[in-house]
Amino acid sequence: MAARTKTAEPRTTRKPAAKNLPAAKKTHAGARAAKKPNAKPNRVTLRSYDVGFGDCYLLTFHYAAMERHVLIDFGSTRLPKDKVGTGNYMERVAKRIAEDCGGKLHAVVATHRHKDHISGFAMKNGKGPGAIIRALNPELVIQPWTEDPEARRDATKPSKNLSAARARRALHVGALADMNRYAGFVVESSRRLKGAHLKGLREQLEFLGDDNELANRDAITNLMTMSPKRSYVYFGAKSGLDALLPGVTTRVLGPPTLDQTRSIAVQRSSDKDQFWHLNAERAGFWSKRAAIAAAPEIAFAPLFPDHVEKRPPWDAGWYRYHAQREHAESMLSIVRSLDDQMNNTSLILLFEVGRKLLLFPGDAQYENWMYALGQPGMRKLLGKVSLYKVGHHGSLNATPRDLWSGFAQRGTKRGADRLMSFLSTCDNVHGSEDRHTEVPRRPLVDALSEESELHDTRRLRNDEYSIVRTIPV
Amino acid sequence: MTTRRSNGKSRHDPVRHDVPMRQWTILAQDPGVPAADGSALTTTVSVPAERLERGPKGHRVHVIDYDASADRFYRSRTTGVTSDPFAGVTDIRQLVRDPYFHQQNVYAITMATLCEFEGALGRPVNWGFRDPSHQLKVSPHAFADANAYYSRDSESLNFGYFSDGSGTLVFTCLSHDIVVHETTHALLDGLRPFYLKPSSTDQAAFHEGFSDIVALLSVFRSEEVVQKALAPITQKDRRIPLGQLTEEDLTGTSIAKLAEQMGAALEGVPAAALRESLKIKPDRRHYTSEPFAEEHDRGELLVAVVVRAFVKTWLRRLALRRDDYVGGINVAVVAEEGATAARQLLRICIRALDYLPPVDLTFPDYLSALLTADLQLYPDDDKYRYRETLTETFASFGIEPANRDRADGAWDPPCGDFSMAGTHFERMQRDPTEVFRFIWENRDALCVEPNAFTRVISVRPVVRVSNDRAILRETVVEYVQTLKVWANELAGMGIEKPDGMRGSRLITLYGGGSLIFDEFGRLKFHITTGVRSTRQSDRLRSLWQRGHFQSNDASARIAKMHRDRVLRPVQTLQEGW
Repeated sequence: MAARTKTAEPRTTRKPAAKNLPAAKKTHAGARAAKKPNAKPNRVTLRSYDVGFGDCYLLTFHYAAMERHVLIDFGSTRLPKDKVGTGNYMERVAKRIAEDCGGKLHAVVATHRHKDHISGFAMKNGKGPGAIIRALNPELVIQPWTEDPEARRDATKPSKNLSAARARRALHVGALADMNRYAGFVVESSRRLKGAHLKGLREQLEFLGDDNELANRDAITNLMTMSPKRSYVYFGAKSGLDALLPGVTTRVLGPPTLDQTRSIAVQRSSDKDQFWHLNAERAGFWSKRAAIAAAPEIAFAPLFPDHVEKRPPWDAGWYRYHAQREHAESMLSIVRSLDDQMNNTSLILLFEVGRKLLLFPGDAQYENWMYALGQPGMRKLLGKVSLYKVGHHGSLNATPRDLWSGFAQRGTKRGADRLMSFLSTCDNVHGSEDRHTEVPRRPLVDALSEESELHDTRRLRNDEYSIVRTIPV
Repeated sequence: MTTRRSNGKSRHDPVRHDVPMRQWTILAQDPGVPAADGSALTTTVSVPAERLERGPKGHRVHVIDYDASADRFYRSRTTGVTSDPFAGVTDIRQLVRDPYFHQQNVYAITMATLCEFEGALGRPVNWGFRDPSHQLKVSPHAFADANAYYSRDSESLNFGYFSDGSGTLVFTCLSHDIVVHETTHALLDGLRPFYLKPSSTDQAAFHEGFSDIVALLSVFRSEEVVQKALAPITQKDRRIPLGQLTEEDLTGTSIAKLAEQMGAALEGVPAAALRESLKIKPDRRHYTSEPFAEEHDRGELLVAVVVRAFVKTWLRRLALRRDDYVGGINVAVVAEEGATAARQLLRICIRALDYLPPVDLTFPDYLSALLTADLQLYPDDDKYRYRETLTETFASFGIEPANRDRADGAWDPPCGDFSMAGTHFERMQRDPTEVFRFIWENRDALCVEPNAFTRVISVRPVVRVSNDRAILRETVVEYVQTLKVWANELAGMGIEKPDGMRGSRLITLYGGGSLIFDEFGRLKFHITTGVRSTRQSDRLRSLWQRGHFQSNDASARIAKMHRDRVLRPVQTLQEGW
């Protein structure tokens, strides 16, 4: 059993899969760095680009004789308004990235497949922001294990042709694809919601549907093929960055694999078979939604063409008003659920540079964090974090309270060792103040402002593209 | 309600019934459970013959065929609204294709379920809507999704439709058990509005578990369905050998096969209850074990107990006939006994609602309520020993009655002298203020928390009739108490604050009781749970662990409850920002 489970763990590196796209140019930068095992960075620069509602960070490690550049996410679902300049905004950001990294990226990290994290990697016919990033010849692309193309191929095969562990992994990855399909159906459904009373719901459905649907395919394909090496990682896996970043320890703290998640579930329910059974049922739930998405005419065309009522009955108006709202709320609840699950596939990376620890949790929510936080010594290690990229644009449940309270460098006094936090977000896009779900969540922002040196993209002027902060290590 | 096939006549016979009744053809279960010859397995239900408008729209149920996914209405019959045009139709395709049949199916099953509750409880049952409203809206094609739900806000039952993997359309409105399940949510919400409030795991499990129980027992009331279930063990001469009438054969073969058919196309919809319940074998550790600590698992445990009790009851009824049928029992007789057992057990399960506390119920409470309800109408239980069966079966899953002071597990009468000063029992049978005076005068005798806000939420005179025509007159009163405290005040009340909860969080504690008065105004039972009860620690911990602390939207909860039965989201101990 253990051996079979092991075969299902994702291998951490892959060669490019697509044959019709040019392979990235080979460079010897990684090899040169590897020849200097004692090289250590003396400072780190973090650039947080203003992509509106999204994430885009460039992490630069400064060595005595070289620099190393790692791009972490590049996506947006709502672009910032009123920025100075003309032309496609994401292309402009991509050009800035190219300038800031001196025309060379060493690694790209795509934390998960949400549009607000990867849309900037989209490329069509050799054009677009993704083409600019591709031309920076990253040597390594790091993604969560759920993006492993091998698992995605398995998901299309009959499970009887796979080992039990591979079949379970394929089922999970297949369910994620089903969620993407249903998200597309939600976008289509939201366009049909008419009436002022549905405006707020319509906007939420459009936002979450758009963020989750399969339209990110171009970006996903580009990420799969832009580098000679790719890592699909999980808690405890090697990131593949060690050779590229000498003197830097990069730990992968999430997402957990299915077996790792199961180990938490088994502690809680004491029945591992039940865990796999529930996983299969969940996959069935999403495959049913994917079937609905695959045949939208069933939802939108008349079920009984000969019985369509031309004039709504007078005594049904009140019900119609409420039924529309409840149906939209029901869809929103489903799409929130899949959005959470996508967030929980997010990479959590911890860079250890000298005495500084830099934490990049993508959009990970508590389900993703649970495994890491339960591992021996992990809370103590995380307590030393010096720089925190605020999870999920400041939403209410992506910064676990016990994680935050454990940061030892939190404090109200200014100083060199005070915790730094970076928030990339946009107001009035996601959630609502009435329901205490607004993003960013006000009490969290207050805590970040009071107890850390907060860098917030919302404070950038219209002629500024990024926040730049250099930290001596 | 009758489940016999109609002869097509629906004329009122005043000698047979005091209320004119009307027969409607419905599907006995769903299109996936056909008759032996492949034709539609239909049955008829009998509901009060009322004036009907198009819809059908009656005085308690209004069918509105509106599809929110497409924002489209479908026509309903405008002529012959009170007639049943589907009597004798056995072509399943014709029934599935005809929206008029879908409309009739949901109307008839919803009304029949309402009648079952009113008959069992001995009084009219109101819906649980915020504003007084008498007509439940029912939409048979409400949206394109594999779900169905009751909504308090839109005063409605909503049935989804979807395409299965092969492209076949599945209509949840054609599944008897799903329609009864959703109607039961609506009725239970009318009877016990606080049961939709987040509380202990048992209470969270009860709404779903109880709806499943009523749905399954309603399906088994149909002799057609029971005969269908018995087909695998029925011989060619239509007899069933005595050796095959065992608990293992009935649950392992007959009912299990039916369960497979019932849930075949409906994964993700609350329809697989029977199949799941059969997987849970009796074990005294279950109730307190970790695998049943989650609310949906706990709900399935309750269903498993009652399904098992139903089979045992059925076998006990058959045991009395064994001497008459040495070579095997005719399947019609076995089915009739099964349908009778289901009908009687269903009535006991519904009647027990009146003997439950209005908030924070537990499964042991429900067992004591079941035993009390049955004891009231049937003091002599020697023949079929229903109460003994229930007690044994619940115990075999680790659930003991809440009241251990009595050997039979029923509730005890209240102790102490109660003052009737200033009250008039005639008014106490209908007026909440009059009952509040009784509670006020007897605050100490009733052990009612003095600092909490107390409200009488219902006063219901009931007349129950047993099978042997014994009449029981009672008045059932519910009062609820609420007390708001800060979390850091809990310790002073003897209640544990959940780990990790901020002391500055405002907590609402709920308590309350059910008062049962006899026909002379004497207090027979006081079934209560106080705001300072030791249960509050468990309730708060459960709410905290399930992350339900801030949730208060009752309507959204049923739809989510159904989805979460499949998705089982991770419960976190975390507090959001």
